[in-house]
Order: sequence, then structure tokens, then C-alpha cells
Amino acid sequence: MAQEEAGQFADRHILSRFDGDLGYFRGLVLEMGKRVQVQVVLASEALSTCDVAKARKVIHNHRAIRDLDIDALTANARLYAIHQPVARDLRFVLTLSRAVYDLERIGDEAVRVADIAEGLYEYQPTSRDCILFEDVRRLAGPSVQLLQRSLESVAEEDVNLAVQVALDGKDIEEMFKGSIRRLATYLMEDPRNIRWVIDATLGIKAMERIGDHACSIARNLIYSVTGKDVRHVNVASLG
Amino acid sequence: MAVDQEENEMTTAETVAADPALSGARTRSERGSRALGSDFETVGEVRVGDPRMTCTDVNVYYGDKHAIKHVSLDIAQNQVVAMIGPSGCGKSTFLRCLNRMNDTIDICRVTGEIKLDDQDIYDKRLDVVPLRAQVGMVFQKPNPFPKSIYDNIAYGPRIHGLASNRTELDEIVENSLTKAGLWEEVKDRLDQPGTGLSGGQQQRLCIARTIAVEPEVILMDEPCSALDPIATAKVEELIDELRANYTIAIVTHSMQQAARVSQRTAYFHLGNLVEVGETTQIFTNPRHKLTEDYITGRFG
Repeated sequence: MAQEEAGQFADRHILSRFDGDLGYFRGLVLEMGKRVQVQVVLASEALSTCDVAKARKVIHNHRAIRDLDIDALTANARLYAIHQPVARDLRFVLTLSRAVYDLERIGDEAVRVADIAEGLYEYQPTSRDCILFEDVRRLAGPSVQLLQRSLESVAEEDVNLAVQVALDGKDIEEMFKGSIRRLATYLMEDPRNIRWVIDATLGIKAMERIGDHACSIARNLIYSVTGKDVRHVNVASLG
Repeated sequence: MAVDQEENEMTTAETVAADPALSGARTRSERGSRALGSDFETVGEVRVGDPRMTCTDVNVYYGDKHAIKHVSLDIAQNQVVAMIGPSGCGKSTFLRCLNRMNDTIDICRVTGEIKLDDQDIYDKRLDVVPLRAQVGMVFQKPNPFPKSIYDNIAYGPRIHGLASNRTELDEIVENSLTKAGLWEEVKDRLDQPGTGLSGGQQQRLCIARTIAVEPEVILMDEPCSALDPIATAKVEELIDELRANYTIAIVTHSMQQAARVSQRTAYFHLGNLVEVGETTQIFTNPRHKLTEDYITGRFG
């Protein structure tokens, strides 16, 4: 068989509606990704600066993410029902659908952090108390960055980037452990810090979970491109 | 549990480390691109542990046209193997080799070896009439004889001498129609013409006719392409049930049908057997780019 015959295969689907429907679903996922990134940044700022207005904005914005989640399920169901994707298409649709789940969880984590921030209003913490929440913002930066890169790996179907994201997830875990140690010192210093330390711990735990979800998106993308399920593989072996 | 997890991690980690897709840069459009050459090799395991039929280096020529190129494939016992591929890829030609239906075409020449159990079916001393009873065939369009439903089934057993009296013949007719899922629908009108049945019923009648001569292997050439979705579903259900007693090879244009009814799938392209594997693997993670492009609908 001649090489040119093998070269006649295009990356486009014969049925342009399939590409359209898949593109629409991917667009929804990426849009949802963008919005939850903003939510995480806002929520972390709300908590670390005890800004109740920002916290309420996060809670308000969550509705739009829920709407995207609903649209994504419809788009996903349509792809299965109308096109019955197989092979790499099937794996990519599965990956997108799992990403929707992760993004929805991330959105919930952002709201959880915003709820904590809103609850602070009642207790009127001093600026000194707010220092305890700095770690939330410190962890939010790399978590959001990890999320952004995991979404980029999905958008570009870039397996190398996805592997790097999965590896970098370890850094967030280390930062989380460091923050816990730091917060423990406040407890030792003054037991009256307990209520703020509990809230701060919940905040940083949320950021750590966001990093986990970002890694999960990346690991699913690796499956999409290579067909290998690496969700439960030791992260060190991915490099 | 913890030990299992660790073992799992080690094994998968080794697989991942050995996978170029994880260590090298491959994007969607670049993946698995490979040209087919004259030294073409089938991807996947063509041999099985318990073959009913064994094909080795089969070539088919229609005059000068080389229609099937060096195809080796086992048909496993009590399994359904589906053959898929674009029009003209040779899947029907290959199927027809399995019971020497190509003998009826003058310009057709077959080389290589095809064995049913241990018998070479192209052995010159072999009588093709009993062979075609052993390896029965169901065609695209239902083709009942212009006879009664009863006689459609009884015809084969009569000429092959499978029944010594009317009672035995009645039993064969009832058993065959029952196995084909048609008995309840036709038992009160066995004397009526087979051609009066609906399309789906006619196709099941043809399957019953094939079963009546006690075949080992049943070949099906697009058996549902002339049927509506409900009749198709009934035939697919029947194929699944028949698998317990027969070995089945099916050619289909419907990839979803191949995915539903078969345990192994073989993908043909321009006379080559490109890839063969477990049906689930072929439809979730095909290894050859040609297979993937075809089943995902990306022929440019």
C-alpha cells in the first residue's frame, strides 16, 4: 500500500456536526474552567483579606458555573446519543466529562472558602487575625496555575504538559504540609487562635483539593491521548 | 489491599515508562501515523488458543487484481469475529474464502492455507458440498426458497440425508426454527410460503435453514443491512445466543453492530488485515492509526 494512501486520512471528522458538537462540549468545559479559576482567586482573596463583599460575589457567581455544569451534561449526553463516539473520540469525551466533575468540585471548594470568609464578618477579626489566612492565598496561586495548565493540556491535548502537571501536584501537597506546620505554631502560641486556625485550615485544605482536581484532569488527559489509565499510578513514574 | 495497590502501581508504572506516548511529544494529529508498505504486518494477535478455523497467508486474486494480501487469521471456537472495513477492502472476499464460495467465480484464485479444525478446505480431494454444510452462510438479503416455511428448513437436511423419516425431519425443523427464535411466530403456518414473512423473519428463516444442516461455523455477510432496527436487534440477539453452539464470522458495515455482537474484531483495508484484537480494545484503544481513523469516521 502506498504511503500517499495512508496520508489521505484527515484529522477532521467526515460528519462536521460531530466536530461541531465535540467542539461545543470542549468549549463549555474550558469556559467552566476559566470561571472556576476566577472563583478560586476571588475566594482566596476574600478569606485572606477578610473581604465579605468578595465572598458574596463568589457565592453569587456560582450560579453561572452550575448552569455550565447543566449545559455540559446535556452536550455530553448528546454526543453519546447522537454520535456514539469510539476510540480516541470516546476517550476524549470521557476525559471532558470527568473534567466537568472535577471543575464542579473546584467550584464547590471556592464557595466553601467564600462561606468561611462570609462567616468571619460576624466575629470582626482584626488585621492581626487575618495574617493567619495568608496561607490560603499563598496556596491559591500555585493551585490556580496548576488548574490553568491542566486545562491547557486538555485544550491542546498535550500529554507532556499533562504529565508535568501531575508531577507538579506534589509541590502543592508539600506547601499544604508546610502551612499546617505553620498554623500549628499559632495554636501553641495562643489557644484563642483556635477558631481562626480551624477556618484557615479548612481554607488551605480547599486549595490543596483544588490542586488534586487539577492533577486529576491532567491524568485523565493522559488517558485520552495514550489510552493508558494512569489515575492510580505512582506520580514519580510519569516523568 | 495496600500490597495490591503497590503491585498495581509498579506494573502500570513500568508500562507507562515504556510507552513512547508518555515520554515523547505526541499530539492528537500526530499520533500513530504509519504508512503501510509491502512488508505489511497485522497489528494484534491473529492466533487464538482454541481456533475452529485457521487461515495462513491467504491471498485472493481476481484476475490481475490482488484482492486479499497475505492474510492470516484464526476464527476462535464459540466466538463471534467481526470483519469491518471500507467498501472494497476485501472483508466479504475473505469471508467467502472460508467456505469456498469464491470457487463459483471463474477468475478468482486463492492461495495460502485455510483449515477447518485440521482439514485443509482447499484440498483438491475435498467435496465442497458437505463443506458448505459445515460452514454455512447467511447473506445480506434474505433469500428464502420459493417454498413453504417447512420446506425451506427441510431442504438441506433432506439432501444431506440428516433425517431418516418424517418425525425426525419435523424435529429438525422445529429445533432449527426454535434456535433461530422463529418457532413461536411461524409454528401455525409452516405450510405457508417463506417469502410471505417479514424481512426480519425471512432472515431468521435463512439462519434457521443454515442451522438445520448442523454447521460448525456460520458465516454472515451483512445479515442485517436490509432489516429495520427492531428486526436487526432480534438477529443480533440471536447471533449472541448462537455463539454458545457455533463459531460465527460476520461481515458488517455497521461498526456499532460489530461492537455489539462480536468478541474479536478484524479491520481490513485495501486487502490487508490491518489490525485484529478484542472488540473492546479495538473500539476503545485501537493500536493502528488506520483502524482509528476508520472507526472514528476520519477518512479524508
